[in-house]
Amino acid sequence: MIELTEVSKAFGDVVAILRLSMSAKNGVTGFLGPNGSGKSTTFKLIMGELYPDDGIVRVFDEYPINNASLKRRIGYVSEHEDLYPWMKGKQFVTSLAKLILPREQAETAAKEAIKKVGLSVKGKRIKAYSKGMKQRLKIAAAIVHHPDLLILDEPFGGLDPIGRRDMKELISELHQEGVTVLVSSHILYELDEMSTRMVLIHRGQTLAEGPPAEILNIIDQFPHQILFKAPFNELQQLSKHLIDKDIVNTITFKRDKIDIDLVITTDNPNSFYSVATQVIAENNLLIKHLEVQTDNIESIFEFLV
Amino acid sequence: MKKAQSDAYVRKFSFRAFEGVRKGRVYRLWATSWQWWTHQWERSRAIKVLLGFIIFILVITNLFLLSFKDFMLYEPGTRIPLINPTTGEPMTTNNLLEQNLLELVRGLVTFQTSFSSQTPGGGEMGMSIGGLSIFILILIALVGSGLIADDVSNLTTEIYYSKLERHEYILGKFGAFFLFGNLVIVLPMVLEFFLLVAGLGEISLIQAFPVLIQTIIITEIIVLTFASIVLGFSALTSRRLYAGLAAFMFLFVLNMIIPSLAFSGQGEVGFQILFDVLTLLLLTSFIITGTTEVIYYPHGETSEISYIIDLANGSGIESWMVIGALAMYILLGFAIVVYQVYRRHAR
Repeated sequence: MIELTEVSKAFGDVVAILRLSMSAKNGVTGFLGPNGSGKSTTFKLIMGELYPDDGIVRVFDEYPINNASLKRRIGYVSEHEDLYPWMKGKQFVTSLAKLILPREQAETAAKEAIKKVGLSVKGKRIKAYSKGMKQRLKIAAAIVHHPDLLILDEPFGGLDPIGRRDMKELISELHQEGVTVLVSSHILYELDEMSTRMVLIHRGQTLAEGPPAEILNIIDQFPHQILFKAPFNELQQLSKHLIDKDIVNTITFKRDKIDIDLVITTDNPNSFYSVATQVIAENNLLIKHLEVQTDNIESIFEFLV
Repeated sequence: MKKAQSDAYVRKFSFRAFEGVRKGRVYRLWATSWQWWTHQWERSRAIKVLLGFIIFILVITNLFLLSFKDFMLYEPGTRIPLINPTTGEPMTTNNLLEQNLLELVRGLVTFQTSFSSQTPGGGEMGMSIGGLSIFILILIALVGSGLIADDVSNLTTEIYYSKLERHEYILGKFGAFFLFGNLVIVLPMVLEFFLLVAGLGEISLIQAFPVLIQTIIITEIIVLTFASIVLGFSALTSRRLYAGLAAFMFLFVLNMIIPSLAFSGQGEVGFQILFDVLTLLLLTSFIITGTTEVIYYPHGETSEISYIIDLANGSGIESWMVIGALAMYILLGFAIVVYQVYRRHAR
């Protein structure tokens, strides 16, 4: 359905994509990569917005460059806040619908799309929208012409946890309706649940692609860092009970301003969480805060490379 | 949203067949142009006020012309026809229509009200509304400046490029400006033609028809030139204010400075005149009406000092130079838009 074969793209001296190959079929394909890894460039190549310097891009068995009929089948949500602040939401979606749909259908399609994304606009101008509302509006504008392929570039950026959850539900719903979705993020947990396939991109190249479980297995090889915040004596107790466990690589006490934190690294996070939970419960330890520091995708990719 | 996939199709090709409505390119261009023009129209109250003012001026001009029709055709207090100084023939109502309509058209693009001609199609100017051009310039700067700059500043180019090809985007922007230009420049002049025909009476529509065609050609060239220049500036920046100011200053200031430089020699017209877009448009309008000899009075038509621009005498400023220079400006503006859209906005 979507195939990139040995595709390269450079902007002057900066190589954005280098011999990148990947494919995506029906479902939700998550593009995971740190900022600047080439995710947006890949999307623009798929949409035919950019010419590849080398390699082949095929979308729905067609070449996307100068292919106006293919654009009719694609909906795109960019990572930017690309909206006219002076417009009203419905007006914005309708105006974009009119670029593709017959005039008489555009109004109805815009209403349907706005309803679908769960946006209550009530005549407000876009400048008064919250970040979450703007993201929904962008998706409404992207799906207003009923695309077969929906490309979402960093759709979770700036959303609060509820907004993220709603966005995931919306993407899953669109997938259920037969829309193929490409979604990018630099945060692992935003993609792993909803994706049917994942592609890891780093420095313009595909590191791995496949079902999320496989990708997560690869990522799990990276030593995870888990940070605990608690009174110092509680942290001492915790470290004393964990230090002889095989699953623990290192234990470090780290000063954070006036507090001292405990940082533990492990190669096997799943086992570690169950052991740590057991130790905390059995010893009745008071843990104030637990944070997985390896969510920083940059460090994972550095490790994988 | 389509609910069901065609399983057989999906199994065979791994994606479903396209089932939606697909409109043609001409429709998309029209829809794009219309949408962008209406955005600009809805956004600015100043546009509506200025347009209303222009219409008001045209109505006043019409009333003036129709009220004083007899004074322009006959000797005062008699029915003896005035002699047309350019042809030596008695003045006719057709002459009146031709002179006044074409002067109205020329008044759209010049602050210099003392251009005249001695050949048919020009004649002595009966009236002057050169001041209208300032409003036209403000209007086109207001409308055109944001057409591309707003998309760049709001990053909406990405949305449009995901739905339209780049050349469709460019043509859509030019189309939007054309719609506006036709509304404020071409349409009023065409209406003016019919109003004058109806108001002056005694006019043969067939005889007057060439004047209508000339009016349409001249005004469309004006719109094309303004579109190219204003959109060129709009593509160069992400701030509509800067784009609008730059376009206005470019047209206005050059028209203030260059003619005074070009007409400072002893009877010779300098080639600097080829750098002034508004004068080029004015001279082009004379060329289209078949006038090759244009007289310029730097201190007004009552002054003894005058310059003659003979556009067909084989020396100095020639018709082809005027048209060539204007075409260069149009192409330059268009090239800037194309370059910016294909290169600069491609990231």
